Amino acid sequence: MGTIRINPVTVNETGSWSLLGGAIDAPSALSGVGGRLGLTFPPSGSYALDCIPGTTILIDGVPTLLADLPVGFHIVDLTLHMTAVINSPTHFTAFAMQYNMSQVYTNPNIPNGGATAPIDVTGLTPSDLYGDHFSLSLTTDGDASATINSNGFFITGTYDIQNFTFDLSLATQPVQQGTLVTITSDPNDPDHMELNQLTEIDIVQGVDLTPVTIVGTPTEFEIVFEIPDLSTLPVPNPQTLHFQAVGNGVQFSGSVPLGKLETILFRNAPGIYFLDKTATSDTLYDPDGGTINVPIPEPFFKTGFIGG
Amino acid sequence: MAKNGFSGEVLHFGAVRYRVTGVGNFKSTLVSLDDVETYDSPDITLAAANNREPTILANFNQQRAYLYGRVTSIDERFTVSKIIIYVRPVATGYPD
Repeated sequence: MGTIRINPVTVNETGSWSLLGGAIDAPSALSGVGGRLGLTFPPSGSYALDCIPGTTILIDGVPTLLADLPVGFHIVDLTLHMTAVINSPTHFTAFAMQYNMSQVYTNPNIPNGGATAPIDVTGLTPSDLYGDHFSLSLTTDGDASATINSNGFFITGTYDIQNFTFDLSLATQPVQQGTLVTITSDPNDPDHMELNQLTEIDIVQGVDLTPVTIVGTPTEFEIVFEIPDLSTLPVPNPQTLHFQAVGNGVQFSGSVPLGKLETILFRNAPGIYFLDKTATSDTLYDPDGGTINVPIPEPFFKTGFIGG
Repeated sequence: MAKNGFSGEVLHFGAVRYRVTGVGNFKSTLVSLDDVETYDSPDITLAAANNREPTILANFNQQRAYLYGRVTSIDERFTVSKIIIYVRPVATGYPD
């Protein structure tokens, strides 16, 4: 168990208050899936919080990149803080915020140029960061040039590290383009990975991630994907493919290594080749048992054809 | 002689003379086109030093043939520095 804090978050908006584009990155940075925290502004339009550069994820106080989240990273609880939602309102006369249709804050008298009181929305789950769970209601004095400059968003919470069981198995190896790979989870294992909570399976080559095609509809206990054209990978035609799964934030966030599959299998790759000067053949010790005699070619010559 | 350099004459491969040294039994075989026919000449017992160039007889009639020399047992080796193949035409060609 540890703590997580996501420091965004600056939202600067100008223009018609009824339709504001903007940026706040907490949800997608946290989930890594591109989820958006939608804030609906009446009377029309929607306002989505999005990623912005410079957002910091602090894991136990240590700045951490999204790609470096620990394996099995899992959010336990979250609190959305809005300590100064509106810094410099102009022409706004009232402000209210709702979370899941319940009003969590209201201020009928926003002073121009002032700020709201701190708002903490507790008890969030990662899934709350998707969709329009939050809404802001603003009332203006009727001036269409009303603008909003809001900041002070950040998210805190706790996390733990979870381990999940799964099985990456194949009927035959090596794999090649078009091979269908099945990952299964054991229904009887309480720690099984919920495979229908995966948003993506990637081939990992260093920092390069290549998503594979999911075949059919994954279930909680089985997911099937297809090996892509290996010649088009960032590192073409590798001998070994490493895979990772990306969670949607319900069971886990970030990525979990799944294992590796071979694209080439060398016959008796781990065998021992024994040179025997007392024999006309060398000896290959088969890892499956026994030995294989590898004849040494006899010394010989052949001339060209004579005659004609 | 034909224009393409191949006359089609049937040749009699009568003997082969080697300058060869080494260890073991040196085997030589005359082999026809496409390895259809072969003729094994007598083996030559190799010596590390030899003041003679042995001539081994053959009796092989072909339009064309190549010579295949080798040793076949462990630790045998050979060095060939000269080969003379004795050939004589015996027919202008095979019947059409």
